[in-house]
Amino acid sequence: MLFNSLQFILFFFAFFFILFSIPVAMRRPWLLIASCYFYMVFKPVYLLILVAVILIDFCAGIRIEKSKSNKRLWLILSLVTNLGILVFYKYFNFLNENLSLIFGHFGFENMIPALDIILPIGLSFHTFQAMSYTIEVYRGNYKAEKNILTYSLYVLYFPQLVAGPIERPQHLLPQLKNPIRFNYSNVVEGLFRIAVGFFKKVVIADRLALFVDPVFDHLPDSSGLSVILATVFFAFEIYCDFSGYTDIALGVSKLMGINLAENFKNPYLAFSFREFWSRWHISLSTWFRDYVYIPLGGNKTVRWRWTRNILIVFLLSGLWHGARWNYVIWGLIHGSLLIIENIFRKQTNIKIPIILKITGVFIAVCFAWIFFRVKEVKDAFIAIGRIFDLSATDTLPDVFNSAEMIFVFVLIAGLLLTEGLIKRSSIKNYAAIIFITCLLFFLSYLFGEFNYKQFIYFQF
Amino acid sequence: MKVLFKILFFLLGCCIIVIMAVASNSAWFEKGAAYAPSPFRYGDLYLVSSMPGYKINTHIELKPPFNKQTKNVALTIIGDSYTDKFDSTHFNAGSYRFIHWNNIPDTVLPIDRTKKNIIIVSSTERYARWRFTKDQLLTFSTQIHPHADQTVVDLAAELNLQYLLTHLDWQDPFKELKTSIYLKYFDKFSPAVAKPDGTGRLYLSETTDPKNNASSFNPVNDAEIKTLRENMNKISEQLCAIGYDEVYFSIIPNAASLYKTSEIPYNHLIERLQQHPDVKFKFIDVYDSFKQEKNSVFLCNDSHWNALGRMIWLIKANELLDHK
Repeated sequence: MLFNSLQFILFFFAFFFILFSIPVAMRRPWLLIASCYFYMVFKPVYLLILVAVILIDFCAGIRIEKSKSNKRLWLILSLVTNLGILVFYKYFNFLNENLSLIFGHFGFENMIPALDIILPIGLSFHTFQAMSYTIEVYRGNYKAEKNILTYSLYVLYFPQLVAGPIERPQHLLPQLKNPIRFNYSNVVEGLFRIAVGFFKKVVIADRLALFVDPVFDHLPDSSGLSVILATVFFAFEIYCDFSGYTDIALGVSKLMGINLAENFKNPYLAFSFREFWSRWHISLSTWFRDYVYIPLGGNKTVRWRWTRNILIVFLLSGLWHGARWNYVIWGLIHGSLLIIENIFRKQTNIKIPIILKITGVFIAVCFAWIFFRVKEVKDAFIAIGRIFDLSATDTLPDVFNSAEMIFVFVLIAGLLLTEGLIKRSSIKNYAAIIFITCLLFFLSYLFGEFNYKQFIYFQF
Repeated sequence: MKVLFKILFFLLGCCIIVIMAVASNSAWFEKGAAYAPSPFRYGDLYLVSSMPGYKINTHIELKPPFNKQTKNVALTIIGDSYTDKFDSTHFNAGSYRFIHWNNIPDTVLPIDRTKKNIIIVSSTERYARWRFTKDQLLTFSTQIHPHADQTVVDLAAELNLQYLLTHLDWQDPFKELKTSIYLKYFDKFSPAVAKPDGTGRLYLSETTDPKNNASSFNPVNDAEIKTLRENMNKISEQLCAIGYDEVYFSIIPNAASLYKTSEIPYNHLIERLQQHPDVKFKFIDVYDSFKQEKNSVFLCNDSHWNALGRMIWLIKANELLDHK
């Protein structure tokens, strides 16, 4: 169910109308029923996979806590189950294709057939969230959950089920145990956040896609100027698409009094690559930091090991996004940029103006986005080739007239300038918030592109 | 008071669930849709464009023109949205069956051996080149198979919800405002509808775009006319072989062919097909009648004909049946 679909809007109203009209004791079961329905809209039978994983992780959590000798065994069982499902659905065909290539190179034939399977929606997100639970219980950072309803909600909680933020048990589980009560300020703030997310998705992201998609779909025919502009636009498209989804998820959750983790902090205003990763998809980067990077030794080790750790983390991060080589390269570019930045910082003392730093980071991030956006690696090299063919006679595709182009730039500038303010502001004048919320919904309708374009991160 | 609000909220939630359930089940949706206003009531072109000034009700009361019925004729029409509103009372025939082009692969041709079987193969001009290039009719059979009467209504839940909830009158001023802003500032209009040319009429963009082969202004060379005519002959022969005694073709012109002025001249597809010496069947020719008619035969906000256009076609079709 897309957040920008009529089905979701009706689901949303039906869910909340009933939620706040039934007794408090029935509200959490109702939330679980609604979450199951939300997931089943994609492919009903896949709920069974999720139920099986929930049961295994729930039991594993309890056994890890109780057992003294078999703790590690239960953790391994949980991780193997989660990773096994992830690998089977997401990476099996990718691995098999590459195996065929290797076999073919040596003159052998790969007899393993490709699987005709559909990737369960949000698999990478809820798998990582489930794994963080058993790891935290294993580490003794969180007591195993004894209530199956609460734990099921932790995995199935519909606002963040399909595209995060990837929550930690310490943050989400205690909130899920609290009774859900109607709170006026939560409703006002939640609706405001939903309006912001909706505006970012339908007005900015889906409008930018109108320009980006034809350019990247016809790279050999596109001019260098088009590719440059499409790359910059894609940077903002994916940001508004993903952060817009996150805003809606946080807003919907806020209506129930549950605060989800922030996932973005104006990433394109970062003045270093390290800072970029502390501002972009925060819940994923902290997940890799806590469960991969630090266990590998983090930065408390010799330089070559640190370099290796960074590359492993970003290789996995690329693979997490999808079973394609372009994502792997995208991850490795970011890893390399971090390594170069670190060496540069340690060996030189040059003071660079902050505006140049921000611009430099943005350009490098845009360059990496090319690999993220294309369907195959060779397309990225075509795009880069087109950029190097840039000439004064380059033209732009006839998608936006000058007024709409100005509108697009105003939207982007407005986004960069106001977003930080919106999140930091502590407006308590609810009449003003309600007015702005209504205005945002109205403007979203007036200037929105309603083409049911899927959220980009739903595919992960 | 608080309890009253809770009951109200609960009932509202349940109502929404009922709407969602109706939208996700095609059988329930068919029943539910009867209570919703038709999205097409202001014309299909207004529906997709929301162009201010074109919100005019297009409802046509089509009275049956004949009292007596020729019992010895079994009439079949293969057609599209132009001819699908007719029923048996509109034709001077003993029996009548309509088959939509989309359903041809699943349809059994109704041959009644006790009657004279007449078939009219009608198509709108914009689809004629596509339909008569393919030998679609050759997939017909006279054998009855189990899925012969299956319904064609199988819309996705989202489209059903759109149908039920997004075509209400109070929404139109907002839609028109959006259209005006997009047209004035972004020079954008619904992709399905040609930008208004100030003549007080909307056109499907595919019928006016010279690059589209559905267009009245897309050039057609003589070789293609020959191929189309040969295919139509093949279709005619096939239908005769199945059991039809008489086969007629009817190409209903695009509104653009009649009213749109363009820098590129009209391709005269209909006349060139109808006047070709090698055709082995008869045409129900409405192009000339439409062209000579002083009053408009098309709706200004819809891609279809108005009551007058329909009536002209109906009279022409019935003239054939009167002589049987």
